[in-house]
Amino acid sequence: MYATNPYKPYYLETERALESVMRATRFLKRSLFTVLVRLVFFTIGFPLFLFFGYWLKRKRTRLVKTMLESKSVNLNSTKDYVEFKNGLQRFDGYLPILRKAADLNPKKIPRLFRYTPVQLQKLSSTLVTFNTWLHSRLTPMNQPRHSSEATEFKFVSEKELWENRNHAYQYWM
Amino acid sequence: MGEPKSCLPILDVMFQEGFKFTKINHSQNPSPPPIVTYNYAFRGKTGKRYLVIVEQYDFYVYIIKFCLQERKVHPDRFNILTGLNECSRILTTIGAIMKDFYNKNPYVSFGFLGSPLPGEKANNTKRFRAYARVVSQMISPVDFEHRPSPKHSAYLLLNIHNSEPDLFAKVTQMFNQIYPIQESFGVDQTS
Repeated sequence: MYATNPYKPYYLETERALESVMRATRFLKRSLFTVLVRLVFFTIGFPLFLFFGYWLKRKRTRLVKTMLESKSVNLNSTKDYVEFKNGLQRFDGYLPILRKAADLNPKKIPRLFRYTPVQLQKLSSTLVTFNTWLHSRLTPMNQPRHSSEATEFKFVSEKELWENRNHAYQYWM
Repeated sequence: MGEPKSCLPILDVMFQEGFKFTKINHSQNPSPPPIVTYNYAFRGKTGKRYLVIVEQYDFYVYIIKFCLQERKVHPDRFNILTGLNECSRILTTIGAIMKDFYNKNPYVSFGFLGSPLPGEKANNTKRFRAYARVVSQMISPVDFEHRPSPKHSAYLLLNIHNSEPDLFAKVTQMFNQIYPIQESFGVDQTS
């Protein structure tokens, strides 16, 4: 009839309370961290990301000017040719990455974050086009200027000569 | 930005250092072709004297021949190997003479034959292979169109800037008339 109250030592209550406080603190910490991250992202990261996109856009504008100027560059001397070919060879090394970037589909990216990838894709695409332009500058050297029906003297293209060349040597002329 | 430097320093000087050459004379041929014959000479590292004969044909085509002076009257002067082991510097000197002609006249074209060694077949000779390799490495395609003919062991460097109509057809025709396939001329250096 007179059941005794279960024994509850005071420290159990305290422990439970302490645990709740700790849980709340942990939750608050986590939330605060998320908030902080988001805050940093939207105040610094995102503007930087957008600025990077803008920088890429500026780069592309300048590149287009360079492309137009390069049309008037002469390849009349051996020195120019060697410089041009060495530059083009380095440029060709980046081509696989540029092609991948040029094939990027920005529509798959959320609209908010699309600006920079679009600029990246446009710049890569322009660079790939520029590479094609530069290669086309060599077309005259890869086709015979003097044609004839005679077949005994086979034409050797610039491409073949360059590929089979030891680049440690310097041209005589 | 220049050409990349080789990890082997010898490659940077190979085919860059020739011998000092001098022009001996030139003579108009009373019964062309060739129109003019230019004679050059230089001494190799062994002190032996070499003769370089540059024959000028129509359309500014120059054919280059060279041999040891001591063998200049021998019929096989262009076939025998000297064994003096100075091939690269001799070819560099020939290149310098070619450059000299090119500097004087930017419309020149060049040609050469790789004469066979005694007993060797006339097509794709050892000399032709060696010269073709050197020429294809050392003369850029900016000013010259490279046209080798292993069948004839001949190599033509046609000037791109020469606007003579049907230049290639005219040159090959001339080449075939003047130098039948069996005839050989060239150098005696590949040892």
